[in-house]
Amino acid sequence: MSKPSDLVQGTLDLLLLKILALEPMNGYAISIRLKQVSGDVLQVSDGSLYPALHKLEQEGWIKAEWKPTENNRRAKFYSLTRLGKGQLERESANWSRLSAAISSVVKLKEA
Amino acid sequence: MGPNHWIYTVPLRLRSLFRRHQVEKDLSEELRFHVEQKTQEYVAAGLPLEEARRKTRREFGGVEQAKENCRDTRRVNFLETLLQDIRIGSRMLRKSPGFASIAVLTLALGIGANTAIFSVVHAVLLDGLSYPDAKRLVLLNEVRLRTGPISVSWPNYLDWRAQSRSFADLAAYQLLQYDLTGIGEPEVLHAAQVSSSFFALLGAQPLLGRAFVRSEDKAGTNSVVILSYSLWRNRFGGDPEVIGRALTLSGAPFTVVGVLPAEFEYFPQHVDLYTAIGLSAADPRWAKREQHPGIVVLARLRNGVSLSDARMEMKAISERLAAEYPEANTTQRASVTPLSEERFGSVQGTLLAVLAAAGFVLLLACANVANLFLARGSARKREMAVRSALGAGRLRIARQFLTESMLVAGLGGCLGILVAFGALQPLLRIAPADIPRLNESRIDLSVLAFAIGISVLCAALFGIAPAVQESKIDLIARLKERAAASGDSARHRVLSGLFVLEVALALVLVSASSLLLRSLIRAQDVNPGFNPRNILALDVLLPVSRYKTREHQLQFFTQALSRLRALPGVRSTSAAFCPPIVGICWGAVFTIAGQPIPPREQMPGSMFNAVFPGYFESMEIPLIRGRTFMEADTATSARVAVINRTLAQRWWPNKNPVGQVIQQGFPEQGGPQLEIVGVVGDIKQFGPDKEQWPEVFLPSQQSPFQAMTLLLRTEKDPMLSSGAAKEIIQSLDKDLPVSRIQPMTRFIADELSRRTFAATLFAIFGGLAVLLAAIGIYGVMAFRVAQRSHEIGIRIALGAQRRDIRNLIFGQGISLTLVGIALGLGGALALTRFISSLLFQVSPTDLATLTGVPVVLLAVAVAGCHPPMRRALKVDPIATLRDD
Repeated sequence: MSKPSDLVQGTLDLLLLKILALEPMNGYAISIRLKQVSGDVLQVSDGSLYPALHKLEQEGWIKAEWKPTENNRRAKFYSLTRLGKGQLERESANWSRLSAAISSVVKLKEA
Repeated sequence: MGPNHWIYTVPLRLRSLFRRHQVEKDLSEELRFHVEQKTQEYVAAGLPLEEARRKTRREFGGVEQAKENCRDTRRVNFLETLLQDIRIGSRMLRKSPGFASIAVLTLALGIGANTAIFSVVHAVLLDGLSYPDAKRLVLLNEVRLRTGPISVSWPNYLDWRAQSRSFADLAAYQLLQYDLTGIGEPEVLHAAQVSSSFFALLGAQPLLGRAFVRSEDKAGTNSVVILSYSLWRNRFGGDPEVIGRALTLSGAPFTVVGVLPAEFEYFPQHVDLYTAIGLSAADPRWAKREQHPGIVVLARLRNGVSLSDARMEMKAISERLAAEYPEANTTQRASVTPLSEERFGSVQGTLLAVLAAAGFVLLLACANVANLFLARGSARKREMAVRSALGAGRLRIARQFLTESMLVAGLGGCLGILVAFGALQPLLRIAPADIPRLNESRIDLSVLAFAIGISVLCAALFGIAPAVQESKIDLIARLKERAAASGDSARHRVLSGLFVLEVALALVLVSASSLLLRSLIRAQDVNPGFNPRNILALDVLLPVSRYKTREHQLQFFTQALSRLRALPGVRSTSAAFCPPIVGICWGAVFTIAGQPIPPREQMPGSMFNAVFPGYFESMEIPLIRGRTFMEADTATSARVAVINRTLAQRWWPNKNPVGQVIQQGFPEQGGPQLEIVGVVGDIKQFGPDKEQWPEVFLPSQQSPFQAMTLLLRTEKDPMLSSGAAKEIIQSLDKDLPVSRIQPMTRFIADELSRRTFAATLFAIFGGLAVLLAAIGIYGVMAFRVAQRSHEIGIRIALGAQRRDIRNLIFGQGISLTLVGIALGLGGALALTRFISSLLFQVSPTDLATLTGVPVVLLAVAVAGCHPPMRRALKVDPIATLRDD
């Protein structure tokens, strides 16, 4: 299995928040969605996904609820809180700034 | 983040804390769900079930690890990890029960001893004065330069009351005794005559009835009495209608007007009832300013007035009164002493010294436990390395150690409290009975708080070093087998430090014990000046109402003595107003006939005593010159006196005082001229270890008193005759109570009881200290040898002889001991001065002690090093080299 791209610390939070902003889902579904949307580029190892989710929950940015899935299995569904929305905006802004800065350095022509 | 944040997080954290089980289940289920979904996906994609499972697992990357990481994110960490630490800690302790029990027991001993003693200190010193605003209470007295405190005269008290501004109020009281008759068995009651302000000053409200009123302070007052709670219960059955009841005290009628509450306690010796001072104010002798009948004045400083302000004002008032009444007042000045100092001044030293000694023992116990922890820490090196490899931070590991220390300290503390409960009663039993409020020592909340406090302190003391030490982990070295690696040098230094500390502490404590013990022996060996063995003492007080004349009183005692003499088992009898050791004689100045009369401040003073003929012979007091009293010295014959050696040497250093004439009191008082007919040896009037005073003896026939102490010299145990003696007294007068029937040796023991108490406790603690130090020394050396067994093996392999190994180990032990001894000597020289008030004829820097104790400790150290050294010699070089 190819090594997933090393995610910059903290951007995992951003991704998770964004995904949950679109709709509430459980951890497994999040990992699927992440792969889907990023075209298989971003793969979070399952072992890091859940600690990240729990941390977001501890911070109060997402909340959890046990709900039945389509197959009537019980699963823990996460959703974004109002606080989380604010955090998402902040992190998105940070990311934009960061990526813009990196791009401008990378685009420098060789002298 | 603000409060909004908490709405989400707090319930979450609380849930983590209180519903852990559920939270864990949820976590497992959440991850299981993920694993199952993924497995199903792979199966749906065509993989066989087993392989799908394996693939999922691999991709997950460690479910347990993930779970642990999830747990880590929960930030209720502190409490949760604490509980976890406690669980792990207790499991670890259970795994090494030997270590745990020794540590806990050692601590329990130390904590228990300290707690027991603290409960006494708390009851006596801290809680001591439970009156409102007790810090402002002071005692006033009159002090004559040569003689000391002489009590206050009534006119002076009235003038002080009128003229002083420093005090919110003043009260006067005196102690006396009454015979209670007419209600059951006649009994001698201890009483206090007090002025009306007395109870108000102490903030006491009567339980029933009232206190005394102003009018009862003056002459011509009603004969009213206030009962103490205990007297009310014991003699009046707690009768709620007791107010108005009539009593007969020493033949005079009294009416009960009040009862005091149970908690009221002021006088060190229990007082049964209180009468109004107005009764004595009527006595014409009290009106004389130069009479000092034994009045003590209690006062409260006004707010804002300091002790020194009050002292200055009283000095000025004294001087004014001395100028106004020169005959009565020139030789004395007023003294102002805080009540607490008067009460506890002497006890404080003893109790605090004993507490300090207990503290030393506790320090030693902690050092030993620290030793144990360090040794164990080294044994757990590997475990800590693994923990560290698994991701435990340094703080986590240190916290683990601290928690274990806390557990040990907690268990030690609990056990220690039990030890204190058990030790308190025996402690109180050997304590001197004259310590005020001694029997109120209890293990109450504040004492428990103290116990908990010192337990925590102990945990900190012996927990921090290992915690810091063991959390420094050099993984590579640790995981290798070799012991001689990281952390050991630091650990060795700490252990050496503990070794030295223990020797030093033990030395200081044992030196102090030895000093106190020697003082006690010296005090016990002091010749009291008479033969105290087989003497029975009985106090008899004749009520003036029935024995009005001196002759009648004298006749009673003469009869009693001759009847007592006839008892089988009684060899001789006599009586004294002021018996040795415990008697309180009266003091007076005197003038020597034929010599110029010195100014009043420089007049010679002495104690005066009245004794029956045969006193000196019966008490076996040596006669040095002249003669003692005879039957021929009657009320009508020439007035004579016998003096003691101290008096003779002070005023007639090179002459024979026999034949000299002295006059008691100031010349203008016109006392009788007394011819000195004999000189006797000195008696220790105040106690074996107290100062020697000059004493003048008068024959009872010429100086009769209504209160005498009868002294019987018996063949065998004095108490055997006590019943018969009491019967004889009752047969002479059935209403006459006899108080205090005791052997003379008991008086001496009581006088020495404080010394005995201190010496006993210090001896116990000293013994414990030596034991703990010995164990500590053994422990450190044993550990050292175990650690160095590899090195020793190499040395032996390289040709070292037994002697060399012995010198190696021994040398180390002895050099550490010597350092400890040096440190301890310094400590002893610095600290023993604090117990100098408890020492008797022994200096705080007594040479014998300071050389003897180090030798003892050196011997102990040698004994402690011996077994480890033998083990070192038995090291098999081949085995240790192979272990490499």
